[in-house]
Amino acid sequence: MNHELHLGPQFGAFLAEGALAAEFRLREIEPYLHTYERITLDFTGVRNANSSFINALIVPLVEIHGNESLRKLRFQGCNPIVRILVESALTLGVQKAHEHGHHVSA
Amino acid sequence: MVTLRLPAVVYDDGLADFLTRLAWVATQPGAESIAVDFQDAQFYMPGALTALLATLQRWVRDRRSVQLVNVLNAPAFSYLQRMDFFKLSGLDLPEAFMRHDARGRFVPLHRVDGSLARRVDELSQQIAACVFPAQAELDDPERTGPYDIVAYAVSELINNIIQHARGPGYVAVQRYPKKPFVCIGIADCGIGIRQSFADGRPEFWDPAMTDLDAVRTALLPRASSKAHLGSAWGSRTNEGVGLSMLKEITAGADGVFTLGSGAGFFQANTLQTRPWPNEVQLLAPYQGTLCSLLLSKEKLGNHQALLLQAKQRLGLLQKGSPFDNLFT
Repeated sequence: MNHELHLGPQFGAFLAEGALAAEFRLREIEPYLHTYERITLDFTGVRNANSSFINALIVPLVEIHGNESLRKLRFQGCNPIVRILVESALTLGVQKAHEHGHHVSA
Repeated sequence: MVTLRLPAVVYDDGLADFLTRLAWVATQPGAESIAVDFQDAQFYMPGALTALLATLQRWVRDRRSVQLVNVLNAPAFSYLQRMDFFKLSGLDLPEAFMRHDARGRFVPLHRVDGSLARRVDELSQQIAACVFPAQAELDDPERTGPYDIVAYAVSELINNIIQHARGPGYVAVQRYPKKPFVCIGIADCGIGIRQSFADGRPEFWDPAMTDLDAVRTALLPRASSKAHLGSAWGSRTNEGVGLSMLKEITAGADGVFTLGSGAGFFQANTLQTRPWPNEVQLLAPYQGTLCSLLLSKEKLGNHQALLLQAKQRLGLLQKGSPFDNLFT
């Protein structure tokens, strides 16, 4: 089962606030991570984002849930800017998981 | 009463001295009453304007009596009025001119405080659209680099004030029509970076840390007073990469990045290819935090490349893409 989340309609064309991303992650992603086989974050309609938003959305998922998050998360509709920010957040999440002694690999 | 006679101009290389003046005057005997003399004021870059306005706000909050003198005959009077400087200072003077559309040139000063929470995207895009209006309606990242970078930078700086400052601030942006630059300035009259670390007690906190140490630390990736803390939602909202990213983006855009807080002052001038940043301990501590970015317009065309370089230089992105399979 795939849980699809559409960020554009929810937040608009510019994702700018980490606090909103953290709220969204805790409300819409964390409770379903163990339930669904796939969680797709759809960035269609998102033109720009900042590091605060994307990091608050993604880093803790990888840091806390490790390989399960990398196995289940998929990113759709990313323009080149959003993709760089998402890849960077994944990298940071893996770094932090390693610092906690967890083996995580893409 | 003490008098602060404002300098004629404040550019990047005068910001350290300007912050020191703002801080020093309030330490003088009789400073419960301060006169700010505008008679020489000609040109202030956005960072200096926001720092001055934030300082006036702080003095009023500290119950000092503040008088603005020689305002009407100041060389910069019209400019300051168009920037809404006096209006935000509480001095709503009659205007002897027609306000023209500021789009494409400058953004009047905006107050930044907690009331902007959940609206940071809106104000950041509004500011970006003011300086790069033609790009606001496009949806092609290859053609909208300057607009997107201004929105990115302004949003990160506003987030910092909302999350850390515990005091209001001001933001201003100016695009210089005859010069190849766009300049973003934001300053608050809050607790400063060192105190934010002291309150949050992140793992790198050391009570021996000076203001300058705190400023240097804030520019390292993953340095946040709150990265280790839970939020009201039980999880972090901050990974502490905002300022370090802005410093690297500014370097990539051949610009000048300035961060001042308390007595700590840091400036990296890539525009004049100075090999080392200017790091100084100010003689009097500025009561708040200032961040200023001067960016070369011609270098802002490729937001994607600037982000990529900045992330890679900070070790926040690996070369190659180990996560290719996660993108559909």
